[in-house]
Amino acid sequence: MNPIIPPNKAIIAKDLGVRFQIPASRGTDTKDVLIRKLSRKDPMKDIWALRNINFDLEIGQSIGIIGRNGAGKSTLLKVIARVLKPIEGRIIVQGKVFPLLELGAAFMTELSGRENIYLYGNLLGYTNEEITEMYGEIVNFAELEEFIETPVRQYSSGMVARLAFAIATAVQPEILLADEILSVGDGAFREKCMKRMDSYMGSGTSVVFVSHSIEQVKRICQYALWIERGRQVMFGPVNDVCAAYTAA
Amino acid sequence: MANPEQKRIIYDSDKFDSPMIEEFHGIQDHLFILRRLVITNFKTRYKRSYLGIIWSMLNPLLNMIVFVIVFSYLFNRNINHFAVYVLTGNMIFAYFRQSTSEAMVQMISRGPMMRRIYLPKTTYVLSSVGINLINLFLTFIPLLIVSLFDHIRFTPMMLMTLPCVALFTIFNIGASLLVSSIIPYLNDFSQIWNVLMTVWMYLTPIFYPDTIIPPPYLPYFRMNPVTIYLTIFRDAYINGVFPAVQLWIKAAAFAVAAFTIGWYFFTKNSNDFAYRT
Repeated sequence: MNPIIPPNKAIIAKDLGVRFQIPASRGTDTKDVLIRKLSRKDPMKDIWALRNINFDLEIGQSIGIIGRNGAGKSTLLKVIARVLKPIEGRIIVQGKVFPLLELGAAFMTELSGRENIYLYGNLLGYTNEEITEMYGEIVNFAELEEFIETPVRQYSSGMVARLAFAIATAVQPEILLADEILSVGDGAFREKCMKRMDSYMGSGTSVVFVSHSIEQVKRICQYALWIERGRQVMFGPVNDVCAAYTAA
Repeated sequence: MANPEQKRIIYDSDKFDSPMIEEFHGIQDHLFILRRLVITNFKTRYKRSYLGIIWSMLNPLLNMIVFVIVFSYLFNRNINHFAVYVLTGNMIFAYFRQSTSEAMVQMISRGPMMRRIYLPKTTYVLSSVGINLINLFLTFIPLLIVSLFDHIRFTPMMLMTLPCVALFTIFNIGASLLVSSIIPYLNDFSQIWNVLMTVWMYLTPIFYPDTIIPPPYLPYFRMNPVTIYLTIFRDAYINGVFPAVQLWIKAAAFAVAAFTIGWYFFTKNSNDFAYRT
């Protein structure tokens, strides 16, 4: 494999493979494990959630990932986010990744919005000073001035999503992983999010965008990757892939 | 800012360091997140209770009172400063018990975070030991108060409890990493650990003198690492003597061994945790 990483690429994926072993997801208490070991019929079943995925993305460009439910789209985002280490193949990511995966899952609901801004900000790699600097901007964008000292457990799901989006996009991200983000919040807020994404994408941010809406993918991305049951069906310019996908 | 001139962080799944080394570098880069997790976990722990942080001081104190009332008739005559003896025993053992069980709780309850944002996995374990270290220092306050009532002589030798706590912390981190690397594979291991902890507690001279142990078993009894740390702590704090060098050597050996084994097993499997939680 070429040891030199092309500097203009944000993401390079080569023959990616991610395998889940199925009994791992159910029955992992001592009794189950013992029974499995003793009965000797170890029903370990390999499920390749992704296999032979190949694509690359230049810095500043965006890719849409399309496919039906369970195709492996979210799994792919997790590989890019470094959460899942691929079993096969290689992934190279140049730049800091901002995951917007299922917004707000990292929040601690006992804590106030303010405390969560610092927690989430730290998790995204900002120092406390940097967060203090952008704090006002975040609260303002999320429109949560009145509730910022309220525990997040009392927030509505829309409020949680607004807060998470505001934190993750407070500073222009290098690489943004967006999983159905634009389906949250009310219409007006969605517009605001789109505007912000547009301005960032115009100035160097790469977006990896997962959506069921072909229209949104076409609007945001230059490239698209179509996967089905973990296998790559097609990768190329967004219009070609989307045309093939809608035809199928 | 996404400045093209700025050097970008590169993540390459093929770049292979030994996982033990890689994790060390990861922790170095994420120290401020570790601090944040300790703070937030500490806050959430006391958020819902009325007395809040007072509990971490009141709890060992009340425990001590119960033990002193129950056992003073049995052991009081054999032990000087029985109240402080019991309190130090409880403090040290609670630090061990709570660090390990909190680490497992973190591994499970932080699953959603683990599956979404990359963090060196040891961060979760280190943060649980961190909260309990703070807790331990908070219990120094009731300890000092009880010491006054129990006529403990305050000597500079008491400061030797600090290196003792440092070594014990390293041991605790190792033990916590070890149990945390089991929990993704055996979901109910924390229940088993709980039982083991109860056994371990009774094998540690928390409220009884080790003179009640039959002499043939005493060498084995004293191999218990928690007993070693506890003995050092009490020698320095209660008796005001410099703990024996052999004890220090054993304490250091256990700390290094536990840490190395724990770190090795945890980092060896940590890439797999996100597949399982």
